[in-house]
Amino acid sequence: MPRGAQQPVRQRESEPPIEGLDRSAAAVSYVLHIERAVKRFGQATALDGVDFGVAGGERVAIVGRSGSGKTTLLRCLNLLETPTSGTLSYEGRVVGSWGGPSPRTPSRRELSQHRIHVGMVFQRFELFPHLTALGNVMLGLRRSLGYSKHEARERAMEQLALVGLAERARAHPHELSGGQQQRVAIARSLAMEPKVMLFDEPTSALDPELVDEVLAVILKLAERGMTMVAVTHELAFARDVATRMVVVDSGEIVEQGPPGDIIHSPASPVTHSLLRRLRLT
Amino acid sequence: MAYVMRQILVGVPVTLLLAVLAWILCGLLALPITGLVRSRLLPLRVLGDLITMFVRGVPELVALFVVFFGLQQYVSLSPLDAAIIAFGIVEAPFASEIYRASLTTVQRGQRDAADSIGLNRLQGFVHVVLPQAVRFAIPPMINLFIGMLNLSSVAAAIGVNDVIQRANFLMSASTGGLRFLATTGGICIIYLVMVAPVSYVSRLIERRMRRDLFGARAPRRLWQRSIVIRGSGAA
Amino acid sequence: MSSIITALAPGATVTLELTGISCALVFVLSVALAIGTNSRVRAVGIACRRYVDVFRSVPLLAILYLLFFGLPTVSPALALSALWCSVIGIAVSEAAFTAEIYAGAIRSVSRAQWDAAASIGLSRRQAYWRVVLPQAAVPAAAPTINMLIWVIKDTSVASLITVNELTLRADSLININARPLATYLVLLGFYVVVTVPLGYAGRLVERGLMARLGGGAVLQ
Repeated sequence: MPRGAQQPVRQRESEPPIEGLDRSAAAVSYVLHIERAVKRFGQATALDGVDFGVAGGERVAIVGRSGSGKTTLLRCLNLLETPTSGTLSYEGRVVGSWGGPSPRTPSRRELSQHRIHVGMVFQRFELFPHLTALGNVMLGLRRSLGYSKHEARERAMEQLALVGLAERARAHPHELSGGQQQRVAIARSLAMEPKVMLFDEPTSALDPELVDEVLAVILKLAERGMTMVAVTHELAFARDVATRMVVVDSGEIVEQGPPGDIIHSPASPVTHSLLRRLRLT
Repeated sequence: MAYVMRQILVGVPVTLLLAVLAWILCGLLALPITGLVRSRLLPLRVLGDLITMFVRGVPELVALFVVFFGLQQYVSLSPLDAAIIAFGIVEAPFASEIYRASLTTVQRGQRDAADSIGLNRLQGFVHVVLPQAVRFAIPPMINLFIGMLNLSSVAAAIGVNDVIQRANFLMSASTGGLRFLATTGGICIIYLVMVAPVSYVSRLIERRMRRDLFGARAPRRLWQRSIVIRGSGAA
Repeated sequence: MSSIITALAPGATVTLELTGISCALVFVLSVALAIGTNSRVRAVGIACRRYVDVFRSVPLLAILYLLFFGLPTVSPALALSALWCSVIGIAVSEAAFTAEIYAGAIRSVSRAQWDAAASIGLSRRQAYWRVVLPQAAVPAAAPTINMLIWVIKDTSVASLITVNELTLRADSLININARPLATYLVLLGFYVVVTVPLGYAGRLVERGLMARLGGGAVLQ
């Protein structure tokens, strides 16, 4: 995708989608696509008309300073936040549409389904403290996907093995290190067999020596072709793993393109100062 | 119905008087208890703790009977006096808990601050800690007062001429039917009406104090605790 | 003195019955109210909060009077036994207090846990049942024991509407033996023997759970 040229086409909420125009990406079929996303919290505008899509197999790194709207964007992708206006589509089908002439709110079941397809890993892991690692992974399998206890346990153990924690299956979260907890969190999301994985600053809450084990798992997922969108501070991740880098500021996409290009020669001054700050940390 | 209400209203001043005096008494009795519980001497702390645990376990109605009938042999007490004493004693541990919590809330940074400007322990306490602790203690103490209002309803059991006692008179003087319903409904309404403004004022104060102290983590916990400390709904 | 004890003892059974049934009711009702207070349906939330406001303001005895004396006049079918009036009255009254505590416990579970539950496709009900309530149980445990103590104390009020539990038995006994102080002191003993250990147990539970589950949410 050409760097810098992808300025989001700003449209007013009431206008119908412009057929074909912004669809230079129409040739690429998006797995997950949010259009004209606006999110307001009271007076504050977190997202100001963002168009963002991910194609199958892509790995997108979203960067920006705190308050730029990057986390809000991510949370809109699995509808943990409901956009004030905009349209969210999954595999070409509209999941929900807000604001605008014909709003469509997803039913509870559709929401649940969507979150099965689009998994999320949180900055603070958010494992369920009253369950073991195995229990954490099994919960979604049993209650959302409806597996029997036996099947759920088998599948859960598979996922834990994948992230290298099979022998800690019976441990409770507080007995695990941060890196281990985050890996269990990844296993928990993976168990749902999502098409897209969202990562919200997955390594920010980790001690430096624990970051690598988590990045290793994410790399493994990347090698298996998982489509992912990650909000991150880790430039190394963006440079080495991501296929596209998106810079967000003040609720808008400022520039996007291949990470190498952007990191090397950022087009926008915002990106420039951001990169400088990220390199220093 | 209006007749019923007027009759019941006669009991309101007594209820209020009882609640206020008992509340004041319990507030005073709580002071030595708090002193014991926060003492630096272990045996005193244990004693304070035992007293607290014991008194908290006593049903208020039983305390009422013990005080009234027990002390009758030595000193003649009017039912109202006995009620004030009994309720004051029974609620004292809760008031003490409130005092303790407010003191802990303040002490955290403030003692150091007072030390650092050269105040000695006593001065620090009186001029820095205490004024703040008092402010923290006000909302839960008002809550406690509401509890006391509710608690006072039981005093009719030893003949105190309060709202419930008026209801008793009304019902014994009639032959049942709607009079009963009006009476019992009436007392509920009266209590609602008595408590509501106090609740409202309490919430106002809470809100104002939370705003004044915005940013301090502690106050929130204290006010949540105030929910746990309350005079029982009846006894 | 032992004669007093033996005379009062049968009342203990009634007190225990009352306590047991009332506690169960209080628990169920409070949990329902606590969940209701956090409901996303506005009407439900408001109704639950109003309930709590009202029943925290009206004393237990007034509620018992209303149930025992007032209800039967509306319709003979509504004439409940003194026992049932007490159970319902205590449950309805105590639930208002416990509900607030339980609601606080639910709120103390971090928002992010809700997010995590949603992110694996759990519905709101599943999230409550499998993720939030189990965690809320930790800060709710000690206050629940306190609730038990309150209910035991409340049962003595039931004596005023003729329920033949411990306190009423003591009153009756005094008419026979004319030893009010001794009798009431023994009565006191009956209650304290149960409530004080419970009080200590509650404190142990609070400290124990805090230690065991480390970073779990703590409700002060």
